[in-house]
Amino acid sequence: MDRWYWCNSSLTSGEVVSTTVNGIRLYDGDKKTGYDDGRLTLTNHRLLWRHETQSSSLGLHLSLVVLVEEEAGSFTSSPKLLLHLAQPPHSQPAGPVAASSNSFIKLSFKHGGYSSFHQVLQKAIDNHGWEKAPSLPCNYGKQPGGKAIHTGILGIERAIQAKQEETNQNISHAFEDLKNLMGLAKDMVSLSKSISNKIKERSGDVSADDTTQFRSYLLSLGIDDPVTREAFGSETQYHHNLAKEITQALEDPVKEAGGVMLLSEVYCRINRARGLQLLSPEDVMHACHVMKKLGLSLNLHTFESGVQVVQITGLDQEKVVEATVEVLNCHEVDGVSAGDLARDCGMPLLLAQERLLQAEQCAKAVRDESSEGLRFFPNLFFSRS
Amino acid sequence: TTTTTMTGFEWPWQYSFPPFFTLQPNADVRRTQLDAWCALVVSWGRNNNVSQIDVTEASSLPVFKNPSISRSLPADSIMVVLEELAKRGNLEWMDKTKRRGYLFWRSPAEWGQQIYTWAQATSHINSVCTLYEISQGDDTINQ
Repeated sequence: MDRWYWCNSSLTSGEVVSTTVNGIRLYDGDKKTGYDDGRLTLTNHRLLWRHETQSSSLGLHLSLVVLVEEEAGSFTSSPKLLLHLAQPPHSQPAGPVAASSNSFIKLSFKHGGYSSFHQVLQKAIDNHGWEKAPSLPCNYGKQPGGKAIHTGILGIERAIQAKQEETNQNISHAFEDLKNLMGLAKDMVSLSKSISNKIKERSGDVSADDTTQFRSYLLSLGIDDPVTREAFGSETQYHHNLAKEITQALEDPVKEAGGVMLLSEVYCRINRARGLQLLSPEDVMHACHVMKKLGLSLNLHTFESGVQVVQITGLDQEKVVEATVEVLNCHEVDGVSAGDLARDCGMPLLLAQERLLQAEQCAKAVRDESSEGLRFFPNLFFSRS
Repeated sequence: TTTTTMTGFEWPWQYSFPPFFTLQPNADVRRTQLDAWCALVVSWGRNNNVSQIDVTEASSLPVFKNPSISRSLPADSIMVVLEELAKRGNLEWMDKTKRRGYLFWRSPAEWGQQIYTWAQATSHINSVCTLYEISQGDDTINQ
């Protein structure tokens, strides 16, 4: 506390005010002093503290500040800056305290702002502003010790360091913008999510074009669109039209294939036919699901095992089973495997398997499981005694 | 086709039908299949004087496999057949663990019916007979 001295508020030559802050209490070491609620002024030479009722100020030369530390505030106490001080010169004018055992003081910031003040204070201390001559800095000739050197190796180093700092500042400044952008994007994302939820609830009312457009926006944002995720709950006009298109394109091929075609094959064929504007598997599936509703000439049939096929409407399942049984009857001795049936009748293996299982469900075929694999026989349990 | 064993036992046609040795998933078909199995086990048991069946040894019994078509009934399916026999009264488990069972060519109910019919025919109703009399007596030679 003995480093402070009485002075007036006028500035010496070359002294420039950096910043001021109110609500400062001075501490002698850890002890509170009576110097409370004052205005603290930082210049490039010293700290000035003045209470509004007083005319004179307390001054502390920055050259005496060895180290500045921050003390974060708690519920009961304000944040503080701790200043470690060197011994005062003998030439120092009189101060409020003649001698103090503490070599550090504290500045208590009742109204806050200590962090930014710390930065400015540190800069002022680092700059050693009091060492610079009040006249223009000398760039050539004598360089008294302690002056900021602008030439020579040290000058170049300082210039590099200054540039580095500037780059750092630029980068953090740039990322500041990014932070803002992310904040805005967050709002946008939540907004679009709420809109898409609304659409989900009122799926009948929203027009197809808007929905498709909106969905494409969401896709570009990278948001999972809840509308399309529902299993054919959201039958839009799009799927209806698609169903008609598929039926038109594939009715003949399906007939040629025996009236039944695997859904995977349908998907391949329709995309081949389109060339551009390919369809997603999901869209093809949704479209086939609505075929029955629209009463088209093709419809989707799902087997118990989950395999899905597109078949001619009105395909008589019984006839299909009969045809399968006929094949079985020809092979009473050895039975028929899915592979045999597929080969004999020229149908995909998956379909052959489904046909056999279907016949089994109708009690027209029976299975034989052995180490040789799964084979089917006509149901002689029923036909024979 | 039917095959006969040394004892003159005639295997039913199902014995040569490979699917017979696979438990059918279709419930209706399975019922028919089990009917055939029960009938086979009972008649084979009677023919070969088999009165007990041990579950662990059952897989090796000739009735449950047909080498000529390389098929045999899997162990868990054998269990299903035995349970079915128990339900119909043709098999009685010796204990709760269900490891061995008595095989009855006729269920006790069937025996009861037979005896009653014989008793009626030989007017033994309401009189007491010993087992010897029933099985070896003059009246039963043909039964």
